[in-house]
Amino acid sequence: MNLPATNCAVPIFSHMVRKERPVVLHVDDDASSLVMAEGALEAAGFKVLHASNGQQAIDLFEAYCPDLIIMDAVMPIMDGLDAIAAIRKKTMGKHIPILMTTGPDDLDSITRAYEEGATDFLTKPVNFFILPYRLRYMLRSKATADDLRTSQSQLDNAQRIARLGHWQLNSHNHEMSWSREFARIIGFGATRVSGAWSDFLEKIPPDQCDSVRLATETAIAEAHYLSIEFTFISEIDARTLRLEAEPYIDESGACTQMVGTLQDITEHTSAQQQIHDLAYFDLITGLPNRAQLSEQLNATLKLAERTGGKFALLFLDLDHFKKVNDSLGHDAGDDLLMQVSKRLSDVLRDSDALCPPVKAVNQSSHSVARLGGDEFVVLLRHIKNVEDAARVAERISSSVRSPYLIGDFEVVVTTTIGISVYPTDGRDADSLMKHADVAMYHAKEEGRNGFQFYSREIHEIALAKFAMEKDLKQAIEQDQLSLLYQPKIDLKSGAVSGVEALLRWNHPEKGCISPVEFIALAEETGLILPLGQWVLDNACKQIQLWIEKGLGPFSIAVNCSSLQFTLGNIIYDVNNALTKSGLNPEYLEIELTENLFLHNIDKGIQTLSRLKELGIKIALDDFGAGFSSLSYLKRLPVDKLKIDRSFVSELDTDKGDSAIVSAIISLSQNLGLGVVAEGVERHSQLKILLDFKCDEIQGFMICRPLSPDDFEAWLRDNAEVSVAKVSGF
Amino acid sequence: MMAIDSNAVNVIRALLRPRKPVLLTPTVSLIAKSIQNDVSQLLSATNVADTELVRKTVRSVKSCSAYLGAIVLTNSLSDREIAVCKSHQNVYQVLSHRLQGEIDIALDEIQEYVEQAA
Repeated sequence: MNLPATNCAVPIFSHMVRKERPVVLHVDDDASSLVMAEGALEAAGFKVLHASNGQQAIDLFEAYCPDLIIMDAVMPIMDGLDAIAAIRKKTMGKHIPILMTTGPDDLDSITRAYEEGATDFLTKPVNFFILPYRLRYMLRSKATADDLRTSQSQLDNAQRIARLGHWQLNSHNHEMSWSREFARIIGFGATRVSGAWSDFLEKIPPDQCDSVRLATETAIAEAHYLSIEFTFISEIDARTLRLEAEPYIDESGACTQMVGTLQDITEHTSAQQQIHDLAYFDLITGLPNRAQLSEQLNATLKLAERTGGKFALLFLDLDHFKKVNDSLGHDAGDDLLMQVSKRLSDVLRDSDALCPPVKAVNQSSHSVARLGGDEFVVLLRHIKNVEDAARVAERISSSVRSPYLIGDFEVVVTTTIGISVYPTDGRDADSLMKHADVAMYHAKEEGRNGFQFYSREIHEIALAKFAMEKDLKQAIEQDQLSLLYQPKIDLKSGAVSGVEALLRWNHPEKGCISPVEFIALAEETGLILPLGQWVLDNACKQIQLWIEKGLGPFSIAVNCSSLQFTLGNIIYDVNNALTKSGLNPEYLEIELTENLFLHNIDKGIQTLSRLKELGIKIALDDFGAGFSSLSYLKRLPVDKLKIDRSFVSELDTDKGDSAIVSAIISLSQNLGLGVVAEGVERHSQLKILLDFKCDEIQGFMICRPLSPDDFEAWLRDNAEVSVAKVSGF
Repeated sequence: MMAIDSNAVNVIRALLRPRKPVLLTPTVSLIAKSIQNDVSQLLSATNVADTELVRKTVRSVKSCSAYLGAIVLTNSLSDREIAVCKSHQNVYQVLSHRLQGEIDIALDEIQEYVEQAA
């Protein structure tokens, strides 16, 4: 016995006493019990401290930090139960094993002892042989529990540092259990260690819950690895979480549970994003950098090779940017670069309609990158022709040269652009970049503030078309367009049955330009819509004027582009023209070609039917020259066919053409349609058409297209015009 | 019925400590002395009807006797404790007069063990 039971003097630095043997604090007011226990325990290698009441026990515990306590229940001054409660409140006393000794019938003490934190209990009489083994077992258990707590603590710390929680899901009852870090990440209370799978799903935002649930259910059903990332909205911010698990499989191969981890990878993802941004984006402007441009260019090249598409590379350099840097400083220079970048992005966004996005790669049609300094590159991924690139270049030039406000200064810069086009100017990225660069320097030599194609030939074509496009816009605005009128003659009566309105462009410098030269351009640029509306309005207005003058009445035929049907609203345009002019719809005839039915015949028929409901007539122009499918001709709600002039021109010399014209006229009559032969220039042609019983003719033989005044005069002179008269029969 | 649980006594008898005498004799001496003191205190407390002191003393004696393996005595003390706790004074007083006899029997019996051990 090291200390007398009544002596609780506490040596200084007692905590530092090295415990070579396990120290047992035996607390009992019964001296005989102490003696017997000491006898057994000393013999078994324990060091024994004695206390005769609870208070002494607490003092000795604090002084010596024993490894184990044997505590009697009933003692004077402070009983064992109170002493246990006090010891358990101390940091060192939380996990020390405490063995209660009680009488065999003292059930109340046993119950209370457990409530206060006793580890185990013994009933008297104590078997002192067994007691040391019992204590050793308790010490081993305590050591194991300490190790477990240490491991758990280390695991908790590791999980907290790694923001990694673990979890498991019972696949049968859908009950989950999880670690402290899992609870912290997902926002469960720190003490909650289990719950239903649905409790976890409720924590996930609704838009992502289904994908997490589905991925997990699939992993369970197919017994495979689960890995899914989702965004979790915590009370503070949005976090990116990665849920991973592997299945535990029973003998039958079924998944019994998923065991895995939940990791907060927000910072990791953010860092990855930063690395990606640093690698692929320009720090000043936020635009893609050279590396990303290179990837985009290679992807575009592959797509173009596969699809046979065409794309353009625009190499931009700001003119005299160095002056801004030198005079206003680098911050001002950076500010200018940012503003230029924004304008470039805006221009390209607005240009999407010009060149539709490439659906195959799910990318926008254009992108802009900053190579460094004042150099930018624009990639136009999908262009129909080189004029598209010229238009975008012109828009960029125009946008860039608007003044910038840099600090208190207004700054004006211009840009010079070099353009290379795939595949004409190169079939690989290096060639295209180099040639765009060369073109840019060439443009600089030409005087800056402009653009230049690498290929001179392309440059001239693009410029010519581009100039014509600009001129055509002006022509519409400045009234340079006019309509000429060519009569159609009814071969039965010999009277004028109608006129066709023919568009002419009186260019102030180039003179009269044929529609053949500019209609295709108008269709490419979308100018056909305002142009078509202008023609409809003026034709209706003119014919109504003639009717009011007592000329006619006869119908007026107006040519319409298929784009007016597909891109525009032809019903609205026709209605509008009729309303403004006051023309009776029965005098309006729309001429259109078979192109309208190439892509969607049902929609074409639907639109024509609605036009017919307005009361106007429909003629199918250039019949025979297109695909002229007879199978659906009967379905078309048209009133007449106009035989293509190519068949009429050699009608009198080519038997094949004669046969075709005869067949078309016969077909028309059998379908109850009128038929018109255009391009009639000779009597021999007229004679055959009369023999074939063609309904109407039109051509130079009758009259050239005339201005309204000339046509009016012609009409008055030929009021009683007859076939015999005009033909000389 | 034997007053002493021979297994309990044998355990005490067999307790060996390195370089120290066997424990049975000093233990029994301690218990005998302690019990006698407790009995005196118990009778005094009974005479003045100090119930709390009676209860504490009964528990103390019971604890000693339980260690010793004195089964009959321990059970008897349990009955007394119950009687005190439930304020059955008459029962308790009757039992108290028999206590010394029961203790004597237990001590006599254990003395035999002590002598055997010697």
